[in-house]
Amino acid sequence: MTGLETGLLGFGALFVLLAIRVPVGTAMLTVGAAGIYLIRPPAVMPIMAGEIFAEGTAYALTILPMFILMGNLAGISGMSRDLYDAAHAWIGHRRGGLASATILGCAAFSALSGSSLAAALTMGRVSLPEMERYKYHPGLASGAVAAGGTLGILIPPSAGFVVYAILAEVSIGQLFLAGVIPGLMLTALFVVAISIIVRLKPSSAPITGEPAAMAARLRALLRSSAIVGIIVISIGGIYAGVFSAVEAAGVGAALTFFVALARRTVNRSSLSSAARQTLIACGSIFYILFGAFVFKTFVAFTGIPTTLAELITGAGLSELTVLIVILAILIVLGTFLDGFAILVLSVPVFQPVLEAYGVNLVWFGVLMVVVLEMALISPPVGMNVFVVKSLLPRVRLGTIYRGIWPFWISMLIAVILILSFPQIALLMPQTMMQTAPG
Amino acid sequence: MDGSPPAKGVLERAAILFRIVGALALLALTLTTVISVVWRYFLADPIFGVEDLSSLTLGVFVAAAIAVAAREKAHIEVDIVAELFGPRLRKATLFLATLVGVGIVGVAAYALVVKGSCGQACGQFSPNLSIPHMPFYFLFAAAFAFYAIVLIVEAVRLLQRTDTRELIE
Repeated sequence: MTGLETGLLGFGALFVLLAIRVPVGTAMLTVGAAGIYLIRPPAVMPIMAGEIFAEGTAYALTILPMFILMGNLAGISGMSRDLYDAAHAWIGHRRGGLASATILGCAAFSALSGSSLAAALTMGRVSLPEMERYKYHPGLASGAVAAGGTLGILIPPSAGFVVYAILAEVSIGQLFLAGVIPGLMLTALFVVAISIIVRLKPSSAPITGEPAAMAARLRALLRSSAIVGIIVISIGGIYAGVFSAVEAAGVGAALTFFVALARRTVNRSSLSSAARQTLIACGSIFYILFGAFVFKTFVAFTGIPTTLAELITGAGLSELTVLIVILAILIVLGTFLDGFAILVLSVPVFQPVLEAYGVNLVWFGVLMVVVLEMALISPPVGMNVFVVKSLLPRVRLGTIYRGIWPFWISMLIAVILILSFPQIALLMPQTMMQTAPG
Repeated sequence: MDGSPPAKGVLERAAILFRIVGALALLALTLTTVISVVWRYFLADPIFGVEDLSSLTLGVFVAAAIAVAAREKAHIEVDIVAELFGPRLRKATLFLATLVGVGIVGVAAYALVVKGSCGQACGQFSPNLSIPHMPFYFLFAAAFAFYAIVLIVEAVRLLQRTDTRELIE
């Protein structure tokens, strides 16, 4: 059997294992190890152990637990409530204002948390009861939470960017900064989508009352200022070159802890819960990474990426055509695969093709993460949709998916804009200061 | 088996131990990072070898996290077609998936023990502080072995289960 045939067999076996609900990490470890054994038998055990140890102790990955801890601390200490209240006080009285406030709250929470599921769950708990109370259409309410939550992996810190950076070997700090403008742009597109929905169908979002007084607005803004401060220090610190991304994660987690402590919103039980949630989230991400790196080694042994790169470059396709085809494949994969699974499966295969075309991998990382966001709300397997469904058990899944379409289209527009104007993603990383050591 | 108090009790106690170790490692990781920033900016003196400390602390955290996620059944699965299966087929595929997991996780634990045992002779120590990697390899192996045991218990539980309705949920 040639390496190419072994590789294709491996991809087939991987999809069979995923289909019978073998966990993603297990499936990749199994196929990767079996494939390496078929090609170079003596290499399999050292590679497995070596990759697990190397990724499990990779200094760059220390960023993940600290940023996830930061998000969990922000969630348990009620900071998410303050973010939503601030947005609510300023725009909640407008038609569709509660849905827009949800989007803004999600965007702000995303700057504290690297997880889309955490953003959807945390903001959903705060905003869905409000929208239910004011008789918002369940499709609009659930769509806003599910879509707003996806900002968690675009707006830095982002677990998706960290995993992509490790796989593609690009700077985490540059990727974080590259996500800022697209994240803000997508937030604006979501708000525009809401305003179009409520203009076309005013009954989907009744007016909720009088605008809040300026004093109340300022008070709400002041309450959320500590959180904004943490965001500015951690992300601004990376931009200004004061911190490396890893250091920003540590400082951000520590500051969030101290703010929560000062507000007396944490106790032993909530701290234990935050640590446990961080362990669970990191355990599942690192396990996938272990599998991904063993699988990546196997794929490299098969020669598939090189063959694919030669095939595509030989066909004389333009860079834009190749990018569009790759993104289209990712969007299709997103309808039935988990975002992390897509990331770890596709980067090792597509990276050599992209490098052959000289595509900027930071720019592509942003495009890819937006596509992964689409995967999070695409039927039939949209993880954020399941999160919202768990919060709204009485609402049918079909209603939620129908409510999501305007946001999905907004994401597609964002992809087209970033594809057409790469500077949307590249401006900040190109102007960032020299990153601090470490 | 999982339902029987001794097995459940032992697994739960081990999981609690991993949770405590993981939480302490998380605290240490955050403190190390913050202290290194403070040291560099306020005392103008970068701490030598701090990356070694952070990396190996991360190793302790990750090993614990793998075990905790295993106990919580948090490792990510993908529902592509399994939802279409009937209860019997679903039970059969779930059993097969669990066996695949036991196999690969067990092999990974063994591979970690073998590689870790080689020790400093194989150059397994941290680059700056020369901290030996062996204990950390063994900790990873312990986490994977724990995951294998959790899966074995799960497989036995599946075999013992006669009512397959809840598998559809």
